[in-house]
Amino acid sequence: MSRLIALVTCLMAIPLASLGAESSATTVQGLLADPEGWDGRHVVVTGELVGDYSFRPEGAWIQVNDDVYAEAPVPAGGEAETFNFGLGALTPSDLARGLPAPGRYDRRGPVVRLEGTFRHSDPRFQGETFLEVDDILVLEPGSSIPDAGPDGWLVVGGVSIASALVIRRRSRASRS
Amino acid sequence: MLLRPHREDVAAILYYQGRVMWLMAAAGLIPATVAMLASEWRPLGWFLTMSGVAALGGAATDRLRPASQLRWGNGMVVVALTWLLVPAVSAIPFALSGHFRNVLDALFEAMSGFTATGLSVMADLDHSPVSLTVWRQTTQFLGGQGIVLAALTLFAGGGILALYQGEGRDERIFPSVRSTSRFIWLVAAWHGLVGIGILWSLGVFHLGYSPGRALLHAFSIFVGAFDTGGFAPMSTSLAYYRSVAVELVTMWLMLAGAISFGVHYALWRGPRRVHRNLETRTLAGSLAATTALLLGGLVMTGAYGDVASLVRRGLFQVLSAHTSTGFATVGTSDLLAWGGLAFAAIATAMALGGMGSSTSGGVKALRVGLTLKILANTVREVLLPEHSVIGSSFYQNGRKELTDRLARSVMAISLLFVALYLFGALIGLFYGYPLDDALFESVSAAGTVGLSVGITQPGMPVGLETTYIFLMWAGRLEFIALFALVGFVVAAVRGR
Repeated sequence: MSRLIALVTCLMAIPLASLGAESSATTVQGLLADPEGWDGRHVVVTGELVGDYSFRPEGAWIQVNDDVYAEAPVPAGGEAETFNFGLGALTPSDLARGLPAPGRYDRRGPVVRLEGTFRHSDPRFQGETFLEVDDILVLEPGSSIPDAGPDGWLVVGGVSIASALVIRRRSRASRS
Repeated sequence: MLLRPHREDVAAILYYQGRVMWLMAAAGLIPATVAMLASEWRPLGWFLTMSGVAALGGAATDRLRPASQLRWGNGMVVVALTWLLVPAVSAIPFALSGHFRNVLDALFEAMSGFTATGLSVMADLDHSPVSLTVWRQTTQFLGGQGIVLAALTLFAGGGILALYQGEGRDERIFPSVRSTSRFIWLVAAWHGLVGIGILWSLGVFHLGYSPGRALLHAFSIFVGAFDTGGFAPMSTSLAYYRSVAVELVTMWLMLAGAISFGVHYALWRGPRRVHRNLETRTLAGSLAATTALLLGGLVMTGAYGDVASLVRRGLFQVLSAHTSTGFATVGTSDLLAWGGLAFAAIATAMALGGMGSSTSGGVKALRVGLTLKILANTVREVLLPEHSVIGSSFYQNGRKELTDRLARSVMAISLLFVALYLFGALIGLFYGYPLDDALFESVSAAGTVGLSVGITQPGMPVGLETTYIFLMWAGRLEFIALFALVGFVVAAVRGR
């Protein structure tokens, strides 16, 4: 019995060990800083899916952003700090179909863990640089960012436009 | 003797500023409408505030209507001031949005938009409101078309030729400036309808976007390409789409934007002899030369292992640089890795720019062509016997004489552009950037291109950011209006 448990444990450990040996957890910034160095390597990237999902014959193109806004987008009160750091990813369509809606102004997109091979200047796509995904794990499903609603600036704007129109009418009247 | 400007001069300048401010007030209603349609209530307040400030500026100057026509010099001052005031007012929504670290960043973005440069310091673009994206693109459209030109079309007054020329346009297609400006809008409208139509179809049927999202992308790409601005709706620029078809349509629009409206008119009326124009030949020649240099450089560095990748990436990037658009399909690290010859080819293409009286920036093809001709004549003068007579003419919508006065003017503007590029590079060096990076970014800003090697970013040094704002402004105005403004200020202070 103990031999059987040991065997099962070993068998389970093999894929985990190989994952540890071949897949490197990295960031989008890290990949883009040295794309040649990462080319062809199996990597794991975690980030927020944003923009649009583009389903095509070769699979679904998605964009993963690995930046501070994945945690706190500006519309949700996040501080403006840096650019977005995004990377295109090509996923099998069936993996992408079930994904929650991507992040935009009114929505924080799903935070996912993408596992796949990083491709730099891939000749199959005339020089594209992207992550060829073979597994996606949704870590957080994303959430809507409610619009804060009309604020004081709406009043400021309305009053100033009205004032300008009154002044214009008066100056026209005085001219005529 | 320097004459102090009269009160009537100041009043006339302010009056025309006011006309432009009314245009800005109306323009702010475009993103405001989008905000209402998209239920973006907070952004709605930003746009109404901007419209309100602009409208107050317009209303305050309504009483100052000049009795006589605007003088040429005053017209130039109006243009120079307009291109400072309009970005300042249109930066209001940017500053209120929270997507910029400070007011200077917001002003930078607005100046970049109106000068159709495309350098950006916007944080978290991928979460920006639809209405803010539309406004960002609208700044490029208004700037590319010519803000003053737009105001003239709506609120024309006397003495508008100076305003027209002040925005870097020296070609009148029709006898009247107003008819010319209408034609310019017609060209944009035609390309807009066709371009947006094709891009929207590609968005829906090829990329699989929803119709609404496809329209946003199509509008953004059209404006960015035709007005050679280069702002994209997503942080990864044109690389976001990963589509040959989208890139091809964009290339057509970029080229159309970099062609002078005079050539558009000639093509509009059927095949003409535009291919004989010095400007057309220079643009074709410089495009061919920079493309050859770029592709040669890429082959030497082995950046791409196959011809298809080389041609697709190389052609798009060199066209984007030469038309002063600034869209990118390769990342900054790739651009830097191209190195040497390819990097120099992109920088050269940015410095040269497109045709005059188009939406593109840089030195412009006609000036480049004439400069080469002047240099060739100088060499000929040295080589030929002392009393040889060297006549010089060039073909540009007819045979024209290359007079000494024209030669001086062309050389002066070309040298000023070189000086502007070097000035920006020096400031970049001062802030510790390597020479090639500093020069690349400086040329990109002054040539109103928008490609970046990473120097331009949120939180960049204030001095450098201010310098780039100045470069974009001066590069867009092509110096004449700038000098007129300086002269006006000097005359106001020291004149009698």
